[in-house]
Amino acid sequence: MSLLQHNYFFLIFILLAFNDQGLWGADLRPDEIVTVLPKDAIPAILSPSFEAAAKGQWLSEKDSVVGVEIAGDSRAYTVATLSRHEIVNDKVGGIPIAVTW
Amino acid sequence: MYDRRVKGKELTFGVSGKLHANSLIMYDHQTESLWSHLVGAAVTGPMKGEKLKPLQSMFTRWATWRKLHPDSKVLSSDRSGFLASTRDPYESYYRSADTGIIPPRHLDKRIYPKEFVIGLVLNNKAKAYPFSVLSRQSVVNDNFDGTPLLVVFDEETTTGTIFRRKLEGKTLSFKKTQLQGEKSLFLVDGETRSIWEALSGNAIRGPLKGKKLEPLPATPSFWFGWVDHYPDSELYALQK
Repeated sequence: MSLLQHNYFFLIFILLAFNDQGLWGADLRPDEIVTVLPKDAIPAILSPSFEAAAKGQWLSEKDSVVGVEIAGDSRAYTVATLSRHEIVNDKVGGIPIAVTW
Repeated sequence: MYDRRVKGKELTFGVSGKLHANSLIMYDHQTESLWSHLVGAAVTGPMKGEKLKPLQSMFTRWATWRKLHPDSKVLSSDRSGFLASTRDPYESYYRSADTGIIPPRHLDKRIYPKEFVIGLVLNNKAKAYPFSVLSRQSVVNDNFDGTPLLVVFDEETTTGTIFRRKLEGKTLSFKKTQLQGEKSLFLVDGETRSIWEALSGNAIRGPLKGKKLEPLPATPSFWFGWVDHYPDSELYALQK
């Protein structure tokens, strides 16, 4: 094997190793993904609807929420609802966002 | 929380029913690629290797959020039908010692695996700030990978936020302060003696009044889940 070939294989090896285990500094491995539920068994929210904070009387002061504010547009998502849907596809301050839990 | 746009294309996400190291795997409806929600990166499919831009959000209590954002809207809850209830179905899981349903690959017992941390990723390097440490040291002036950071934690509502503590080229250092008649957390910076509202990062008095610190996208997570995805993560320890 020439030195050039050797370097070429080495480069491929590095790229493969980096791609699967060094992805964004995280240990993500496709072969370790397991299926525990059918797809969409937990329904993500695609068209969220909102109420004004003042109307949120069903909420208690201590309820956990995830809040976001973009360009003056503020929204809260209760953890109770996020736990049932896990993903909310929304648009806040004109930016398409995914709230994940 | 992420921006749903990748290479100018708007994606929508669904729940794949799959897990990676006990953490939710999402799929996008447009390409059917699988994404880690904790890391925000595509693991398989046409989008493999792509990353979603993380957005700053706050994990807090309703009362705290409403005080900071009186005009906020709140996601309507399902109050009828199959999913009806305003209770969190995982309440008992948060309190138990269970670490998901898959044995963790990288178990790091420097702190209790089920403890909550605030996780931060900068330049592909991870660091975690445990709630147990922050509850004893609610204002942290830290440096991580060359970036001066401010971590603030309101123990009452277990709300943590991370800011860049550099403003217009000048690094600031913060201490806790008390304002008469105010129960929430306020800070004073040692350089200008300006007063800051801790959780929002807004200067409310002094020479820097009206300025705002840049919040960084941080992820609340259980320690076992965080370190299983970022095994090289640094862990902030109590400073003596």
